[in-house]
Amino acid sequence: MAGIALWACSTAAGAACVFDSQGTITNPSDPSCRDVMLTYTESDNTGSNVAIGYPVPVPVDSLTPVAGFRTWDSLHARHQALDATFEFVTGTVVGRTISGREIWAYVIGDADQLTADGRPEPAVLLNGGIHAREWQSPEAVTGVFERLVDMAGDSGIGQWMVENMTVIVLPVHNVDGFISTQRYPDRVTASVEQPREGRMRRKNLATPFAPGSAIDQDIDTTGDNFFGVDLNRNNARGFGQNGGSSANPVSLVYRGSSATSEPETRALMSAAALGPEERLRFFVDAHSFTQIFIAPMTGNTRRDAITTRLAAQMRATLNDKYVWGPGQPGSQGIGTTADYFAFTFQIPSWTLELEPRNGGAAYGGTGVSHSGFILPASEVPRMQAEVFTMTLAGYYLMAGHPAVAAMDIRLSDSGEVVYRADWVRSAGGRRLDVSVNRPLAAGHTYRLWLAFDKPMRWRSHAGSVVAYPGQRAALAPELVLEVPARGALPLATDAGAWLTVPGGAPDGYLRYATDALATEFTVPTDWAAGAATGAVVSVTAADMTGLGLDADPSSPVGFGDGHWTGLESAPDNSGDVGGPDCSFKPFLAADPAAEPPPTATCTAFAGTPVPPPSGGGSGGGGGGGLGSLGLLGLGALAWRRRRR
Amino acid sequence: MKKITKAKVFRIPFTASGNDEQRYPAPPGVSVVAFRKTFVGVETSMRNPLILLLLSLAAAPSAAQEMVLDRATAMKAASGPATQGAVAVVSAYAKRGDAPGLIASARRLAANPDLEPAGRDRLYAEAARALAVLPDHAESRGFLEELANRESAVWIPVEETAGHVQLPLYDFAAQARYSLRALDVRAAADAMSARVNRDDPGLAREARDAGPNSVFRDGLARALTEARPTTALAASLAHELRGDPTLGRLALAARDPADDTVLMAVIQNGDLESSLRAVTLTRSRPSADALAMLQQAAERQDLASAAILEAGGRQAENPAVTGWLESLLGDPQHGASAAASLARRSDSALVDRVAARLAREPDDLTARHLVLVLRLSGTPAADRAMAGLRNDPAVPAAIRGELR
Repeated sequence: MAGIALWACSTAAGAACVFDSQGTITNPSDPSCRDVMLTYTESDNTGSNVAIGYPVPVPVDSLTPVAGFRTWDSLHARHQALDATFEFVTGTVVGRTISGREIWAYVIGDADQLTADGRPEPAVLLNGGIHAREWQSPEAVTGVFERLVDMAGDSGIGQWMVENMTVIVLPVHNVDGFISTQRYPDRVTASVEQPREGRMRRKNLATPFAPGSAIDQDIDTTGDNFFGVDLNRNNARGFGQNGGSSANPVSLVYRGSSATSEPETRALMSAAALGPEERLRFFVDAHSFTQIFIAPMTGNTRRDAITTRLAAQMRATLNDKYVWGPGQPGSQGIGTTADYFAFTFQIPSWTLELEPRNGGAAYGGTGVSHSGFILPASEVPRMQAEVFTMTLAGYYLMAGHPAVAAMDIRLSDSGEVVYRADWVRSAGGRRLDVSVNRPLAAGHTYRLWLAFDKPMRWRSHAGSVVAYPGQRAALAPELVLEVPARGALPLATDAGAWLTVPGGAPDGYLRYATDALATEFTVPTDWAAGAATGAVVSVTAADMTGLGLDADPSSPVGFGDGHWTGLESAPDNSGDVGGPDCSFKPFLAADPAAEPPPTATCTAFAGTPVPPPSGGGSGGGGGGGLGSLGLLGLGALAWRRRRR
Repeated sequence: MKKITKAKVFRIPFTASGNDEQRYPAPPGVSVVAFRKTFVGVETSMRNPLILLLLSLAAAPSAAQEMVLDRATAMKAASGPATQGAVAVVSAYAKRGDAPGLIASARRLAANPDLEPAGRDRLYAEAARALAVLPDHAESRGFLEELANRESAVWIPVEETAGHVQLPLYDFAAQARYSLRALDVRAAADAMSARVNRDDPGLAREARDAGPNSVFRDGLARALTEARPTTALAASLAHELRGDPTLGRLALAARDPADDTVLMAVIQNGDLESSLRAVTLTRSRPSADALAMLQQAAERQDLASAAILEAGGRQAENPAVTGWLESLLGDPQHGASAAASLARRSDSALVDRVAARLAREPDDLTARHLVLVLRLSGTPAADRAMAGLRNDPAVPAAIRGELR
């Protein structure tokens, strides 16, 4: 029973730390606060022990993932091994910590930084470990890194991502702090309610009294344990503003002496430059815990709507297990990394707080304060897999809306090609190169092969086409052969239409598995044409994240000023939604030698064009994240209805 | 005093976000006073407690009890004289081992209108924590069940989220749930302690049948920590590992310190968590024995990297370790781990040998792993070796590109 009394004493000792309204300790030099030493245990609450209710994780030496957290040395060696082993991984020292340790970022992507059709690749940046105690984060980011490398040879989305995107990962940003936490995996100081130093260090190691130098990294010398800069309050955007940080060096959210004062902060800027910055389309800073996307809303309504749409898609992959926390539009930030990237580059950007939602009680723990930072070791592999599922969907989406790339129509029996058209690169965009255009004839059966500029569907481990988690788009697109004055012939497609073997038309994919499909159709006999009659194959498709087609592939899709560029819902009607494609125009004629007639009009474009989302500059209403998402949905619905 | 009308009050209906558990978003710069069903924020410039109180009362739905307070307010409320006195009383009952008395006093003290809600939460948390280690009592379980189904009254913003998310200052419900299970586990341990002391091998089969995360297994683990090392039971658990790897933790606990037989059984058949621990336990073995065990562990794909890295620490005492690691450098599965393990030695002789081998290594993957040894060594000798190799035309360009 003595233990119980001792526990009460320890609680009383912990309570000796006094906090101001911002949560800052006001008596940091008081030994009854500063010198309190606590130890996390599984179930022992005696003395200065604090039971969390499950085994306290201890870092493990292993390059490969384990049921637990890897040591810094192992994580670094793992990253370096991937860098040294794979040509498409490039490691770069982007800076040094305040104590001189190297900070590494890694680019996963081929060296040319050009897409398969020669355009500049979009770049995305994933930051991990900015807060030292949030061990979930480096493991999650490393998990994304490892899985992207694993997928690179899959001939599908993994290979496409390596060849068409620049993925930058910075797995451990606050290297000094992370190493400090791992040195003391079960020890903390000060207070149960706000544990500090040791396992619960959050900040870097900067000391306010000797700029540019670090504290001693020894938990038992307590005079400097509360110091350090919160690297997620040290960024230029919103620095020192809006009440989200503190000028007190003892505070958990001490922002530093000036914006970007910390070398770690500058290192993240250098990592972004690997994109380079102007190609960045998406930034995530991985933290823990509370299981939420905390997303700055910049007031750029198109950017904010795209951000909301992106988050919804990613959250859907885990059945909305993660929740959505948009900021107040126009709040201007508090100096976080997410603020910096959101406002500076007008790209989707957020703080991703990983699990758990409410603390260690989620895993059967005692729910003691701050136990949410201590994910049970056994949960790590699942957490990594879930974060990757979300992240991959996000990267895939931000790569951009798909466009049709080529169509090939040939007689099924003879294999004779009657129509072949390819969108090829040209100055400033693309042009349609129609290399074969002979008439279709009534009563004949044809094989139609259609390719897109990105893989469109996910494949199971067994190789079959399946819905990606959270996917709402139908597995098969809608194809219609439209012949004015004759009618519209829907072409049968299903999930099996997607091609997963190489070789191009008529039976293989174009560049990547599932970037092409094939189907057969027979031209109705009552469509027998005397004079040549123009036709259109209208294509209504969405990629696996629901992005509609770029209705005008001549202007490739890009991203700038917070919105999609070159994306049309119909020719000359740009916006952020997309629309049907009507660029492939074969024709019908009874005479095999007939010349192509004037091209037919596509009914899919009939009716009122879909207006682009309003606004786009800063200072818009924002706040309408969900409303804008609704607009997107209505827009998509509108053009689908009009084409019927 | 500022007028209330100048306060900017934010109300966000609880379900507006589409999520029924969050208490967000708190706009940056807003000092929070909130109730569970309705979010209320007041600009931080509005610090007058009376105004805050009036606003919060005006905004509170009739059924709302849970408050979100800033940390200072919450901590102050949880450590006032009334709370300290109440905690001292509960602590005294706990010290006497009087669970019924503790519960009665906790109920009485909690009803004290002078006790702040935060203090009541703390009182409940202290009581729940104490009951986990007091003698089991029906009344204890009833009280804990009661607490387990209630919510904390006072919540505080999580500093990570700049006020977006709040958590209980004292999550007594979680503590109560944990304490209930702790009572179950202790009862199970007590029930089987005699059999553990008799070294009853039959417990292994029963543990297998009970399944992972069962009270029986946790009870057995607890009983084992209080018993002498077992022999027959440990052997039986090691045997059962073949059918149920999750018994590894129990096997190690049954024979602490583990003997070679148990250690090898866990290394071969234990789940990853227990086998990782077994790998680290090889440190207590002579290096030759340890190497044999680690080589066995390296046969397991999920355990190989940890085993290979563990071996790296034994190089100084056993040259055979270095030889083994060097032999793995061309292995697609293990080469990178071997390189990292070799780099732990990082003496100049090793660096020279690695550099010389790299200069003539025909196999691309092996060469890349040799590069990795040098990169991870982090010594001036390794840096010099890499600088020299970067200019060596005999080294393929792709490999030279990795020598940074």
